[in-house]
Amino acid sequence: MASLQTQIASLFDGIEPDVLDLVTSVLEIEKEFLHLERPHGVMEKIEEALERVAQASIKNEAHS
Amino acid sequence: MRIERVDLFNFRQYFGNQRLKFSRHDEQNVTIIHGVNGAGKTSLFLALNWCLYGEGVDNIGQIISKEAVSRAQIGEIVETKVDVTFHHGNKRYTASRKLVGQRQPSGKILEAKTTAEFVLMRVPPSGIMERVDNPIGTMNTILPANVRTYFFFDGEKIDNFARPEQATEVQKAIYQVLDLETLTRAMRHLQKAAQDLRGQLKQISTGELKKLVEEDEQARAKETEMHSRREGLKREHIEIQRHLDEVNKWLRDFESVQELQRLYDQYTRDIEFAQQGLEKAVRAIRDGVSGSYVRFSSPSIDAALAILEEKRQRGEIPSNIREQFIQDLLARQICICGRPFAEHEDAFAHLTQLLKTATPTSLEDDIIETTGRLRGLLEAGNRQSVELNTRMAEQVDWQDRITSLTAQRDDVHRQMRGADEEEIRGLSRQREEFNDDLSTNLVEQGRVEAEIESVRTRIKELERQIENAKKSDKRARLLSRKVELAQKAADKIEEVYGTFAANKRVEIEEKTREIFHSLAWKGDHFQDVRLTEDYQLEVIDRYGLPARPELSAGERQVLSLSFITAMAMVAQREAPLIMDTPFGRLSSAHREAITEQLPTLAPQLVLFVTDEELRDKALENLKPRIGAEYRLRFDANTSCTTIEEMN
Repeated sequence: MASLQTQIASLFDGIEPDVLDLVTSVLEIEKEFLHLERPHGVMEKIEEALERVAQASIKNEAHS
Repeated sequence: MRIERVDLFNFRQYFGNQRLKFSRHDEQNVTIIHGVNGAGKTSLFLALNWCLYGEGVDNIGQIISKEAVSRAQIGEIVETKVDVTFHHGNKRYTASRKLVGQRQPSGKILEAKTTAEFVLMRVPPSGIMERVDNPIGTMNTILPANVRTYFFFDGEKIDNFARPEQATEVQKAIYQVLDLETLTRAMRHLQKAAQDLRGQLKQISTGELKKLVEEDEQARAKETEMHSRREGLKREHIEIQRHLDEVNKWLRDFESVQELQRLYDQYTRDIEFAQQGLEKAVRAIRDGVSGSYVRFSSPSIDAALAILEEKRQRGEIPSNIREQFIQDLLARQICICGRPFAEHEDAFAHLTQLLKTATPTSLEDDIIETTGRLRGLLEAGNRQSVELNTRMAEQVDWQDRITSLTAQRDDVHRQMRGADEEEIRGLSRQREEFNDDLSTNLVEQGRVEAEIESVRTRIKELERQIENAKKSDKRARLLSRKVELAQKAADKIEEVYGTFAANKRVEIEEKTREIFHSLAWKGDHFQDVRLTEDYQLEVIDRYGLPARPELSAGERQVLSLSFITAMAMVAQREAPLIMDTPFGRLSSAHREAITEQLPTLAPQLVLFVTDEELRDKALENLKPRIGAEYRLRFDANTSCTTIEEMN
């Protein structure tokens, strides 16, 4: 049986690469903060991931 | 995660350094730690939890070796420390946690501030040991603190999941062990991010750019219209002037007013000349004002010159005697008064001394040049000031002359309008009208010119605003993309979450059933194990009825154990199963069944047991799977425990 992470990742097969990139990044962030009941800084990290993925998405769009 | 060893230092009854190595073998994956009640099994269990997760300890007094404290002098620093070395993925980690305290006169230990340091070191497969930047976060990605309780557990509490009121606990366990919490948190945070970003987007997306572009287009259209109007007025001016010239020409033909007309023409030329003079003066004033920065900086130049002069007087800027001049005198050995002098004379010594204080040529040149330039600037400023005053006086003079000449010409004009000949009076009226038209035309030209200037200023402002709005538009585009991505990601997680959770519940149910049947000795009596949609863990008896209320404590323990191991297997988490006194409440039949299966349920099994709970057939079952075995020896004389490896 594949690992839980692989199983979860496989649930997102076939979605847009940008969205997949974001989902993967956010899940990593959430895992890092999972031990905290009221995590501080998680939204900032998600915002950073969103900014990165959105910038790349716009850039790719301009090139295509 | 597989634990390699634990190193204790002054931890509870473990005085000094003590080490316990765990078996990490695939087949002989069981480590057994034997100890009588109070020997230190729970302390070891606590040491693992405290080191890896910092839990279970409120203060140093709870965990520091009393023997170590008793041996310390008053005021002496005493330390307790636990290191846990483990393997995860293809890396080896060492987690260290320590507390430092100071012995007090009362014999108690006072914890030093900020000593609860947690350090996680990592060794990659072919690398040098490195310190992990985010040890708590990393530990939680390996085995989250909240998930850990399902792998490191107290045997006394093992039956919790099988109690009727524990559906919430079961759901929580599945939620945590299967990473469902990660998914729901991600979904919730992405939705919040999308909502916040929408608010930001709304704030900056007011159609500002569109509005500005429209206004810019309108302003430019107006500028074109004004240009056209100005050209029309200029043409009109020429036409009026032509008519005026014709009228003047006709009037010149009348002998009776020839002299008056000549005067009129002369005044007109003089007025035109004065107007040119006035325009020239105004231009000179405008140019003078725009280039008169030197004039306005004269206070600064004065200040700079004063500073240089002050420094010169203080001797900070050397004298005016040039180095070359003194050297020439010394070479010629003739004083400036013409008297010769020799090297042994006072004059020679004096000049030699002067040479030392003389200004180096380059510095003196620089100072002289700077002073000269500053003075030049000051003079230029003064000249500009004089020039400006002259031009302003000229402007007033030209204006006065125009006023006077116009008055004189109007006087001539009035005389011509009162002429006897009707034709002359008529032409004079026409001339007056043309002059009025000309004046109106010039006023209108001035108004249009001012309007063009105003429109141009607005267009420049609009260009700047459009540039800024374009930047905002870029930001709006980025924000819009972020909203779209955050929402899509949240929606996708929500979409997969339900299916994933339902599938995993079914998988856990199947696995729990399978394990329970392999562990329970009344296999035929219990027909089924169910994990309902509302997360009730239920056992169905041969009559098809819920049997959980009638389960014995041992059977509840078996059901819980089946559920925990099923969860771990479904989650595919490589984590050790560490159980503190797990068999104390089980009958021998249960123990025998469990010990037969338990080693197959986890990659690494660590059992803290008393001799009473693990003996006979149960111990025999485990023997082939035991990779490491220890006995905890408690010395009543020292109240300390030592870890002894068994062969």
